[in-house]
Amino acid sequence: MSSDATDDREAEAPGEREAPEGQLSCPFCDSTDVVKDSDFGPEISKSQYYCNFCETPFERIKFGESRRPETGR
Amino acid sequence: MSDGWPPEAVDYVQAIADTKLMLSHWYAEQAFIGPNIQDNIALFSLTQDEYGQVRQFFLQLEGQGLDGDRLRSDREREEFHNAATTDEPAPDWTRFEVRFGLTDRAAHLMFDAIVHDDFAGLTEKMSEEEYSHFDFHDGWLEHLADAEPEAFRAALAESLPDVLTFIGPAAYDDDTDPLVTAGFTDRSAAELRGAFLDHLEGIVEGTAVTVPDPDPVALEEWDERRRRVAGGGIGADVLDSIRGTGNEEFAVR
Amino acid sequence: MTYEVLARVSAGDDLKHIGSVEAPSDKLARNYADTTYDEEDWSVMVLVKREDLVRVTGDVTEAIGAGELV
Repeated sequence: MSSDATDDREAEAPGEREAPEGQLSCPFCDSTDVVKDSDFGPEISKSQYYCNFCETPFERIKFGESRRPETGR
Repeated sequence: MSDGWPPEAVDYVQAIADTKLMLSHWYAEQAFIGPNIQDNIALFSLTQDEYGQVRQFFLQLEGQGLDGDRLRSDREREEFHNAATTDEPAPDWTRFEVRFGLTDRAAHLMFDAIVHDDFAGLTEKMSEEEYSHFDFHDGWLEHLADAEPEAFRAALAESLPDVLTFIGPAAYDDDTDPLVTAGFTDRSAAELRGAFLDHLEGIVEGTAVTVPDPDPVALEEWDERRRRVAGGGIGADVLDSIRGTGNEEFAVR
Repeated sequence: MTYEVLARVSAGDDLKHIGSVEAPSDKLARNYADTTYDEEDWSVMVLVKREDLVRVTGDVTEAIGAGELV
């Protein structure tokens, strides 16, 4: 395991994990000033986030996996 | 594009939203009865995703001057612009998956084609949710096409024309689809039909099922608002259920 | 078919049996396992069909009855 990854993990306050920069943004205002409120959201495979910029809670698929369906584009 | 919506866009978004509202309804009903507990869990999740997406689409429609209360709870049956495949419950699991799994796929292709700035972050998030829907639906569709080809073929013959009518007429290409020419979407109905049919071919590949010849949907017969060719719509009992009529006496005012 | 679910959180951890799923195909089994056992960001998750377990010692049927493999 790289030392960077260890440092990041230690710096996290429990229950309020900073989203990796550039990876996750608010679906409403596109701000990246978002925090994870909880690993567990209101349904399976979702985590709960909060956007500090537009003060809106939102949920995203867990563990930062951004997979989207094939559209034949 | 970032300026106002073309007039056809309001109808397009409402048709997607109303279709998702009905998907949410049928997913919720099925979520209690399987086929197995893992499907129940998945279906409850799909229900929530769809309803959440409906909420966001309704908010966008409100931004275009539509009455939000009316959209949410004060409409008559004929004012719903849902895909014809979602009018009624599916009588069995194969027809459930063929009707609603394929309609969900069509609705995704349609909203994924929206390039207006109002939808920038929203459709991206919705697509992440849809990934899990199709992991589930396609798993079942591939299995059912393989395990029950006759029932699958019958279900496809029943539903495919309505799904394609929801996507739009084949005559709408890059030069003639009003949403594309206005810059609201970047894929015409003709292109989306092609993408949908390619995907469907992939699902039935290696099984005894073949995709029937698609009906091009005559432009002059097509109802642009309700995205169907015939009349019909949801039943009175379905409307009562969606509007929560039976729950009104329990509501705290 | 029943599939046993095995997973580990980080590289180097033991691969542990965390549960099972019922599914009619490998693809659906993957979907069920992925969504049902979502409590960790697993680095590895694999499935084994229960019927493919090769008995070495002990009574597998009895173990299942005792809840050891479900």
